[in-house]
Amino acid sequence: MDAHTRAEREAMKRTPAEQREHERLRVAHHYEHDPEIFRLVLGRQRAYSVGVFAGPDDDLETAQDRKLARIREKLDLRPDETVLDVGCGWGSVLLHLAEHTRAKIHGITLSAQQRDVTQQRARDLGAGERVRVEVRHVEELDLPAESVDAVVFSGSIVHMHDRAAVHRLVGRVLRPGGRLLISDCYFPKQERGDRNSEATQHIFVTALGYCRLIPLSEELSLVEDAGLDVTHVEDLTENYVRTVDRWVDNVRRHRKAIDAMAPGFARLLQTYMTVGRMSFHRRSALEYMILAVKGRPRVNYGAWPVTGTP
Amino acid sequence: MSGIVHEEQNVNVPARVRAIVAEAVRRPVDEVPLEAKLESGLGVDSMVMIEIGVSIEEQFDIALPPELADEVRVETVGDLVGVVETQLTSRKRRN
Repeated sequence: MDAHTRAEREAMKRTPAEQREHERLRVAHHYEHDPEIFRLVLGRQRAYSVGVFAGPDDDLETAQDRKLARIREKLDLRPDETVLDVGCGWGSVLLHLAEHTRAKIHGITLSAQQRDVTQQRARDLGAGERVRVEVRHVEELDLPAESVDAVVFSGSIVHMHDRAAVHRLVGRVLRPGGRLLISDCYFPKQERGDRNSEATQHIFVTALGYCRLIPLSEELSLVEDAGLDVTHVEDLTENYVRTVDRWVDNVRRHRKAIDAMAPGFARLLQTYMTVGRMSFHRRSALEYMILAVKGRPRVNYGAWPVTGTP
Repeated sequence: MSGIVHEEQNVNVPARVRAIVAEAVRRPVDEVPLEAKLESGLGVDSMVMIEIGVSIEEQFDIALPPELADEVRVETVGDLVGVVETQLTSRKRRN
């Protein structure tokens, strides 16, 4: 696979262990800021990923609730099934699933702040015994083969350099019939825009520590290499533009409060989000939600699309 | 915010915008006249334009259009001053 950006070329000079360490330090850094900042910017759920807007008048909370319901319906969890949420953030997906299903959920994150917030929110929901969150790098997960019914990456796989290793892990730990869901950013296959620009470097490295965008077809190919079948892909690029617009409005509204908690962070957020917004608006970056299954799917895909009522 | 602050914020818009642009392109303010072309004259690319936009929003407490760099009317420093003045006026009307 070719490197698309400076960040990727630098990552390729590191050993796998060095890259894991780099991600552990640099990616976690962004998310270790005061969780209150992210509540102000991202909303109540602190969902740091695309929302799903039914119309231009939807507010951020409605769009995020719709997105979470959509993930839940796509995963189609039965009582006592197990979910692995990789890069669980402050728990938006994990807690939604804990509240609306009887599944057991294992979340991992690189940020101790995120682990603490998510674990506390799970206890507040009365779901503490079904939810386990730990600080761990995905490549260092040691789970038995065929021990998980669903794996979720919502706005997280973009931080993981060794995608082949990640997909091998998913292929190994999923039980037959197990589902994989990814919601994240991709590059178009045909290069649009300058991927070596200062703007790209700012967003991928300065703001977010490490990001690796690949074309959708490369990700799907790795999913297939791991033995899964792709069952559904949807383009949410325009929804990401709307999501980021609302995040930037929240940064504006709470600029003073954010700067009081972390001087300069409001500026960093607004700058990288505006760069990102421009890329998605111009479709030099794309947003997709991917669903894949290991073995025979148990739902009837003829009944698609899933509506995802919140 | 009080009306008095708004009045103060309307003072010297051209000088303050020029200072923001000068800082962003790392040049003395004298080299950033109102008629200077942002892209071809001062080398402002989309990243620098976004940084300028964020600085303007911070200093003037206004919201600029998201695709400021794509705005056809924003070619020179003076055009940028025009956008800021328009936003300041419309905010005043809203209050």
